[in-house]
Amino acid sequence: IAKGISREQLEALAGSAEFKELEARRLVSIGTSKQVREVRITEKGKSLEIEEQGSGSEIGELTKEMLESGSWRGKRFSSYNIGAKVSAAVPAREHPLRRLIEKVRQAYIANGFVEIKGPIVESAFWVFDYLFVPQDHPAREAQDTFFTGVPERMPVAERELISRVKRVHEKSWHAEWLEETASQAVLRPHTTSVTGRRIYNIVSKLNKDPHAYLMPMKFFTIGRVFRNENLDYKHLADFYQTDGIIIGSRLTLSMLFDTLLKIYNSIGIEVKFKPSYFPFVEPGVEVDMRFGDEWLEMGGAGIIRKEVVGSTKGNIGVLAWGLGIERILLAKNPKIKSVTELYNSSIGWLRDNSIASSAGD
Amino acid sequence: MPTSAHEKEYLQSLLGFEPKASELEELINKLGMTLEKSAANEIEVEYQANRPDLISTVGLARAIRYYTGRHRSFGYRIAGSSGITVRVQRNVRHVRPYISCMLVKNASFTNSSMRDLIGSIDKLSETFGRHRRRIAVGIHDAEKITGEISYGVYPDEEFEALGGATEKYSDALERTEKGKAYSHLCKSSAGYCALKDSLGTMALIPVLNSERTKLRQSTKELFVDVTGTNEYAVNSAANLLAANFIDMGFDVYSVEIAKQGSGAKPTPNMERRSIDVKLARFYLELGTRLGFNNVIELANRMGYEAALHYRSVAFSVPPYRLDVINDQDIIEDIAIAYGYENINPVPIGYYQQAVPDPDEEQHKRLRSIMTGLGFSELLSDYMTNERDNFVVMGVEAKDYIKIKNAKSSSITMLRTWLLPSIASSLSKSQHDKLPHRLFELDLVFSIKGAEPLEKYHLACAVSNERVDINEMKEVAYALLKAIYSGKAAPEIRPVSQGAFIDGRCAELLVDGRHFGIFGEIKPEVLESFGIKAPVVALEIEL
Repeated sequence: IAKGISREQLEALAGSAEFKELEARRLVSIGTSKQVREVRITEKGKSLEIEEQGSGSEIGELTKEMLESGSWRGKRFSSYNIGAKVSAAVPAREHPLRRLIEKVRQAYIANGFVEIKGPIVESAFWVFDYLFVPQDHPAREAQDTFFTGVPERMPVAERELISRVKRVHEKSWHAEWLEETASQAVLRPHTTSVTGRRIYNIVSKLNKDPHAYLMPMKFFTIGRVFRNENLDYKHLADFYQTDGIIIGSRLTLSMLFDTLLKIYNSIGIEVKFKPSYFPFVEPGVEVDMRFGDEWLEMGGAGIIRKEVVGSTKGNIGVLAWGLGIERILLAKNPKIKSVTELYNSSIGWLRDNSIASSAGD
Repeated sequence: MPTSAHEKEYLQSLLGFEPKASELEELINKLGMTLEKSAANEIEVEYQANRPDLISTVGLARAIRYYTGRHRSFGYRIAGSSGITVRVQRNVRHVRPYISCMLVKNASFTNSSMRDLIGSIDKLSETFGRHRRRIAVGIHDAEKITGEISYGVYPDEEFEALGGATEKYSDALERTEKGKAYSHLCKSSAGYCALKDSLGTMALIPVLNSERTKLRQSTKELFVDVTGTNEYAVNSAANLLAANFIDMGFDVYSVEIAKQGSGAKPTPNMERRSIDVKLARFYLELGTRLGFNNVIELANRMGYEAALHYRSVAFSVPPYRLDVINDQDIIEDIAIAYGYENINPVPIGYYQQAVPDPDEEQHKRLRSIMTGLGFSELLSDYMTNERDNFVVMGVEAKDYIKIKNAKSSSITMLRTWLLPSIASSLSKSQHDKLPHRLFELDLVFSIKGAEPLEKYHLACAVSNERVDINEMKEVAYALLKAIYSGKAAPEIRPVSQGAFIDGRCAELLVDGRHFGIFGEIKPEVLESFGIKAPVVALEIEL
């Protein structure tokens, strides 16, 4: 807390670029301090009160001893001031973002999806290369992706898959593909690395035994992702994303639209679709959600490119999507002004946001 | 996604019609772009990163004209050979080996069209060109070029850079902003990459053009060079530029590129690929039935010449479409022309048994127990730094995952435990009424050898005027009962840990395995956080 500083000095400081940078990094905040004086009756005072009220035929506080002894019989109860001012009781609750995540999770489960998980620290191979992102794509640069120094490298994949991915990249992107680049360890910037691994596992098994699974198969994951962003009210460095895939044959864009409409309408979110580009899907779709009179981008979707799926027996295709979660909470709860409020909150914020209705309730 | 600015008046002159603001925005949206800003004279459009043809106003207008049926011609033909040959020196092959050139005649520029040209080639070199490394574009007044043109690596010599005095290559690179940004692409141990004619240096490649061959609004003939480290990208960019010039109404002539030891080739090659797509594929991918005529009409609206070819449609890919790899890209374009909003949602029609992740189900139960015990749930960042995770908590820094390139200096690692975040939240809560009861259940990270490990922990803390360490034990027992269905007998052992008061800290074990730790937090730690009431805390591994 800054002390000995005038309001004018504080206002001048708060307007500076340096202060705003520290505030975005949650190292400082401006609030109002107040002195709270608490007055309580001591144990001695309580016992005097009870004696006072318990004299004669009137009972103040009914006690366990009175009930056991029956000494309450024949006495009247003094009236309490029922109009005394109180604050609302504040229940302890799950975090509003957690409640929303659970709602999204239940929407997937109600639509017959299998929940999967995957690592946070991943090789660039599963995050980018397997997903047909060229090795010189801007998203792979240090300014967008977090690279880990320890560990610096991660195991990539089986030799056969590495060879296939190398061939596909060099043919399509007309540039040399390097295994060394693919083995860099990163914090996953999307949850598509999780569903990507699942696509590979399923397709590999199907290529050995086309009857290995009953189709279509539906998977989803919800987890944190990491972007090396400049932080502000709508951008976090780590945040939640959900990815979903449907693997089968004769899967169409119209089925993708239907699936997303069902999942998101069931949690009260109106969505629409427009063309967009992501390296691993074609056709590519931008999924927007209604936010008052506007439409906000939630993420992307599409049909996974055959360069990713590889050749399959039975013409297997994959519908896929990857969508953010925090923005849904902002859209549903106008009280929350910035995504940065959702994390590292004070007890006061958690209490304020525990009983007000929001997307999670 | 990247954005590009377009002057409204210039765009309208290229469109050949004046759409209302809302109509223009709708057209832009339907083509997969977004109107980011609209000012009195200018709009800013967010375009798809794989569509460098949409960077320029010429390209945007072309896309809209095709889409609205106003552009019906598909020929992008070279007018002939310019008779110019560029001789490529062998010494350039390890620096910047590829070059493609063209001569553009009958050019006529306005202020707007000149601005669009210069702006778009800069952007093309930055984005598609990957900060000029992959490709970069230079444009020269062809009437100022004389004699033979050569491209190679040359010693440090004098030239007059655009807008500057006559100076050596090295000085020009040091003096200018572009020189500082891109000199590493030009300089090698053998010298400097340059394009020259008989009068001297035309350009220091890919950094600075010369004052002598500077483009002016009155320029009628342009010499264009595209250089880079990727042959396919250089040729593709040259094709895109040629198509843009043709759409501006200029004539494009080829230039021969002669490499030592191999024959001369004309550039740009204006290659047009043909891709066949079976009609049935559109239904199988989009879920919408389209007839041959329908597909051809939609193809034309996206700039493709298309024709029937047995039970397929043969698409001729325009030379400026650098994003089209195969039939999947064509199917997307047909879907865009058809309109995503016209594709009716169709249910999959098969129900599969859902399987929630058992760990997540357990976490849900544990969270419910914690809130039932009066603890509010906290969510905190996974990323932190050594000071916040180790130093202020009084514990040794070890076995953790390091992050090497965060923009913020407060991010250097992934957290190894949850209590620092809980303490941080408590420190922000000093004006909130006591007691403070917080918990968090989430991932923490460590490293074993070279292997990153991810584990779920549950941590909680109580801060109050008076605290009781036994409450943490009670909570631990409740959690143990939930996790092990009452079958685990916990062992408690006194232990020392840097965050806890000595003699007020214990380890929990189950079947001899470490389960968790609880205790009363040291006042030094509380002071570091500015926490004014005592705290007891617990952290267990799930």
